Amino acid sequence: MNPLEKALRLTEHPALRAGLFLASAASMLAALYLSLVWAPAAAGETEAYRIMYFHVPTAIMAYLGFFVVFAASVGYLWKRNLVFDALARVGAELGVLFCFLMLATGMIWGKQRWGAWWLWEPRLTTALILLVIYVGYLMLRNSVDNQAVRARYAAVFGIVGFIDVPIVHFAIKLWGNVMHPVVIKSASDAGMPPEMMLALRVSLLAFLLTFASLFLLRLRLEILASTASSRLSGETR
Amino acid sequence: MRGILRAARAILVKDMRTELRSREFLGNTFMFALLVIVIFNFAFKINAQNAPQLASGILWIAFLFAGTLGVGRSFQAEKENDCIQALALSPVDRSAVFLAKLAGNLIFLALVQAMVLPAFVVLYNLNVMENFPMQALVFLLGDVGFMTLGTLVAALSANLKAREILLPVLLLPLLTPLLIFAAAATSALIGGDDPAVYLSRIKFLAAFDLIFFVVSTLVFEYIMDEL
Amino acid sequence: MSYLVAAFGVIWLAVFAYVFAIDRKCEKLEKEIESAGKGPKAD
Repeated sequence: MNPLEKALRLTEHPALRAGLFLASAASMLAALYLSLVWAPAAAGETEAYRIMYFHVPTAIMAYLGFFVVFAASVGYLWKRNLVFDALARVGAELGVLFCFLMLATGMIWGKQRWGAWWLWEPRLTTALILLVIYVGYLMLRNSVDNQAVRARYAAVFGIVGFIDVPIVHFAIKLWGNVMHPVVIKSASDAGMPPEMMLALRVSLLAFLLTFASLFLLRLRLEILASTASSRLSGETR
Repeated sequence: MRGILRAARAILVKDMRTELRSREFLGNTFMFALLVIVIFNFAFKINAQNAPQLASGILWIAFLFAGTLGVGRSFQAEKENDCIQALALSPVDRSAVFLAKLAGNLIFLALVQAMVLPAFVVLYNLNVMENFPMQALVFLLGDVGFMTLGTLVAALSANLKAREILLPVLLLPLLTPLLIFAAAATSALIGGDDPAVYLSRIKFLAAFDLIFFVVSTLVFEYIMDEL
Repeated sequence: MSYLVAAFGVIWLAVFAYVFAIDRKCEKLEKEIESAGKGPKAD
């Protein structure tokens, strides 16, 4: 049995999958209620400020996904186990998904708050560069056919790309300050009332659980694909 | 360590010799970089007022484009002639191959820059070489960081189907910090800013180079095995 | 308010589209594995 199939057994445990799904659904409902109804209106902001309760968690999930890529890439180069490669691929895909959501919700909020979809502000720009780097990572993966070669190349790029992330942020901060010195602070920087903080925490938990369920679901696809290809190639031999 | 350097020098000399036998690529790349500079002039309508602001960015864009063309070639001849296997089989450390390719790409880029700079100074009527030692240091550090990542990504993309488009798509986002630091340092030097301004940017450039030089040398062997 | 709705719309559309796409691919693969597992019928 190849190691991927072993991992499949673990993730296919029905109790785990069902439990995670239920937990994420329940916490997501709670987060929706807390942030849309229960949390107080923010002084000097319209109702659109509530986007923040979902924007901040998507941002954290995006960085989590990219961190998974980095950790799994290091793991792959170290252990040469294709399970790590599958983890990296799934992490990148979820990271790209949440990074896109972070940008989309941020832009919608920005249109309302700043009157523009986009400002070349350090945080936004960093997120955009991140998205480009990891879409590139997925493109790299798609253009290599051999599994072992793909795993290696992707791991190398995953490591270099992740090391670049803080440097990109730092550089763009420098550049942004040079171009326009006003750095707009997001709502989460202000000292928040405890109700808002609680709603944000619950929402973060809900997104974390959703991330985990999506991760398992996507990992299962990766594992099924590898089983299918190994079975089929075994068949033709 | 000395063994690695000797092996790297041997590979570098071999690369230089093949490059010298057909000099045309250097000339073509120079023409391309020159064209980038000329075309930006049409796009932005450069005049005496906006030249100091835009020039450093345009110059570095020209270097980045020309350099990206250059690095794309560094593993191509080896692939086409199946020499990469011989390199992989040779009993030298993998990092020797990386160092040799990096040095070759650096020399190539420096030659292109040496040809482009006079043309740039004349066309944009800006004295880029105002503070020559410092500006040369900025170019050197910028080139090293650029070519370190460039050589690594060129090795990554040498085998890919859509190699020509994937190399810039993978490389340029990684180079954003370098472009920011280098263009800012060059522009501070052209504008005659306070030394503290450009010195801090030169420090960032040096840190970028150091981080990626260490990382790239470490991970290169994993690509080399599969080239 | 419409901005709020738009933001949530984007999040949930994207997540559900993603889940749906994965689920369909999973089902397809499961069928493939099942038919391949039944033995060399194709020849």
